[in-house]
Amino acid sequence: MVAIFVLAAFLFFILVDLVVLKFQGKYHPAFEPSFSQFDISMFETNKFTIPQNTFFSKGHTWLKEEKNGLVNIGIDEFGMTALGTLAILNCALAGKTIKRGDILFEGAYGNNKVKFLSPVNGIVQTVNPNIINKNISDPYKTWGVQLLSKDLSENHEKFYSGNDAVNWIKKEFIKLKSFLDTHALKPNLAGETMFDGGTLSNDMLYSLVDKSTSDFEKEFLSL
Amino acid sequence: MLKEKGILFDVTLCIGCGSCYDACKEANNLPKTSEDFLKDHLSDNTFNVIEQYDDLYARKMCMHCNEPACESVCLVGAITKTPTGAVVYDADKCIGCRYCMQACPHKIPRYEWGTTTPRIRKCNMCAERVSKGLIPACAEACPNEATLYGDMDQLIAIAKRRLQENPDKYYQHIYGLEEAGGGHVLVLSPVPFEQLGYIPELPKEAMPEFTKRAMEKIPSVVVGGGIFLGGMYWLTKRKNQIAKEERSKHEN
Amino acid sequence: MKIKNINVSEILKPTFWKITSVIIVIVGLFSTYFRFTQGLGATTNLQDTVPWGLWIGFDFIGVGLAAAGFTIAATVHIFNMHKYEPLVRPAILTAFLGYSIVVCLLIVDLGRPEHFYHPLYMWNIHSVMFEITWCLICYSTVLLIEFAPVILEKFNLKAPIKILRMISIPVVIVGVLFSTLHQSSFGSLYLIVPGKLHPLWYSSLLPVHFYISCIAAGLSMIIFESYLVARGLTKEDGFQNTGLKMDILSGAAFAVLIALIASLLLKIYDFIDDGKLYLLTVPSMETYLFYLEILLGTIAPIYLLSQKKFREDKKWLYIISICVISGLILNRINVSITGLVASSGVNYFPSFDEISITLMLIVLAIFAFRLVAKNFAVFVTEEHEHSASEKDIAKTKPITIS
Repeated sequence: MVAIFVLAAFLFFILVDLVVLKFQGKYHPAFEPSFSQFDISMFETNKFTIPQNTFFSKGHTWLKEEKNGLVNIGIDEFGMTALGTLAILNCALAGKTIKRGDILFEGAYGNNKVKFLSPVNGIVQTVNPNIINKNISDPYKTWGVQLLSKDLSENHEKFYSGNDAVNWIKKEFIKLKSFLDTHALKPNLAGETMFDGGTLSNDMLYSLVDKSTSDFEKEFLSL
Repeated sequence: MLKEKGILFDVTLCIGCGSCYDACKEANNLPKTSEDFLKDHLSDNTFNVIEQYDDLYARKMCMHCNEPACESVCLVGAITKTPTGAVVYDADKCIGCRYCMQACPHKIPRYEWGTTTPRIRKCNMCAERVSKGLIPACAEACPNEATLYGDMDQLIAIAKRRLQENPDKYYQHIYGLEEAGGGHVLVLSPVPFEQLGYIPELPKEAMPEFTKRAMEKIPSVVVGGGIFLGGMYWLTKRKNQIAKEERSKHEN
Repeated sequence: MKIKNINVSEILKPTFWKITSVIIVIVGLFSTYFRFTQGLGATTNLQDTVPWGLWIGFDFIGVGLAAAGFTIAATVHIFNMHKYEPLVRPAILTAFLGYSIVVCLLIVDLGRPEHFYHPLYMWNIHSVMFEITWCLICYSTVLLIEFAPVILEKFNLKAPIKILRMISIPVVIVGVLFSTLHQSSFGSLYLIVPGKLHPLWYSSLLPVHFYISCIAAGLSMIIFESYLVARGLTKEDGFQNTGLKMDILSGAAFAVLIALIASLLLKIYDFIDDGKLYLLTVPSMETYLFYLEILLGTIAPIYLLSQKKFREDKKWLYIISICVISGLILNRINVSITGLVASSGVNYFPSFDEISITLMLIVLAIFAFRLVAKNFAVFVTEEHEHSASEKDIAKTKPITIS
């Protein structure tokens, strides 16, 4: 009996961990989808060109160091296109002190309003007025806010860059596919238009079932 | 040189009066543990019990093995054998690993679970009384000479004579003479011993032999293993080196 | 060394496992307090007929799972297979922490813990326990020496590293020998109870069984742990090189396969040689648990590992490693508890305090692993350990706590 008990305890903790990961919207390394299972062409037609010296936070903002301790922050390609084209509605005001995890941008994919969180602590120096409700053609050239912050230079290892960043964004798109399968109103239609042709369409707007935007924020925009 | 002493217990002579039980408690300053001594069991406060099987009575106590398992397993040597053959315990050395309880083939040692400074408890053949020239309390108290204390060779002779003279009265076996390598407590019975709760089918070999056979191999494992590992290190390193040289030769 | 920006809000941010760990540790500390103030009888379900319980059983598991410390060290340093270099440091750290749990549990389990130092000068060389104690002491020292360069390089102390590197090969050999001795000796502990231990597990080859099974399970533990590390010590937390290295793990899995086959063959030989085959058809709790142990821990993993597609698939490798570890857990508990139930006549089940103290020590070991991994270069890349360490010396990082 003791043998069964100890074994059951061991397996119980493993299972609980899998459940916890499920709640956090993360994958266990053993059950992470690998690329070969998916249509690679999807990525080839949507080339991920990642600019140099740019870091990516888990909340789908990008960061770039400028002189004098300034950090430019914008929303990455994934954030700009995930559920359709993102319209930025609001961003933090100049002069405000921001903590990591505070809201930096508010945007909307159609009716789905989402919040992007600040990846670093800092003080907002400048806000780019040209992003509010504008169509942004190159997300990596258009920064949203400029923060005065030391966090980035000291914590490079917290962010993705280079190849790591490419792989991570690929994984996020794969995750998005399964997210849409379960959360979009017309999953079949979504699957056909977006993925079967092997192209990610920016023109497609997804209507999510009730409350899914908070799930989306939890799974894709949390730090 | 002291002669090896032992106890001979004859079930046919035991009347179940409980004198040995009481005497043991008194000699070891043990508190009362049961209203009815026949229903008591071995514990940290009871080193000797009398069990009733119909109209037969069987004593259970430490068998004081010739090569005690408990002594051989004790890593700090807290259990030792006295020159007279008694197996005694030194609480000042004991660290409380309880391997002796696990190892004992007769399941005798008991532990003081209730305290924060526990000791192993069991019969020590009244080692203190014997050193003062007395005999163990149980043997002294027995009114019917069912428990005899004396030199081992004499006791064995008495036991053998009883079996020979009364072959109908006795089951023809001296329990404790060869069980687990033999000990200093011998038991005679009219019926097979498992009917009296004595553990049957114990190996005739002393229990420490089982461990010794494995422990004996340690030196050869160390020497052989050391040479093997050293050799493998040298071999694989050499192999890697040759492969490297080959490669650089090819490149040239 | 200054203690760098301890980010309090980051540490206090509640997550499921943080809260669980804190609860386990607090409850465990209370249990420890009761254990030492009220004695074993009041806090455990141990009794005269069951002198060894969950704690000793868990010691067997802990030591068995820590076996990778010597197998990986031997593979890399003795057999010069440098492909497995990245596993050396995690394996040694795991072994050291595993042994720390074992020593703590042993001290908790001792009736007179204040006498724990007695074996140092009170010797009984005929006791297996004595041999184990000394091997544990010596092997822990070896592990410390093996891990010392990781700590020294952080503080930029080159001279002692040089000395340690000179003696590293003899140290590894001595470590392998000590491990071989005490891993098998945990089996030898039960050689003296032929009448008590159930014949399904009792065998004169018990030490060999223990030795082979610990090799398979120790390597599986390293595989399992690689997944834990990839899951728990992520890039976002500032860890480098913690991703899964499937080629290395598949290689280690092949060694697991060989060890498992050897252990199965030895078991079969043992059963035929001792004429114990009839026991397999006797319906009893022991038989069922024996079947579970063999099927889950040996036969199923052998079947899966023998096929390349399972061995190289990260999902299956994870499941296989869990199977092998489960097999070792079952085996050690079966030997130390299940196999003795019949002879003791008592159905022992551990008490709440026994369980909570055990859990607490596991949590503390995981925390210690995280702490060490955060501050020292435990996860190195494929580069040769020595050259990697030279580079690390250049950029020493301050110590962080979280």
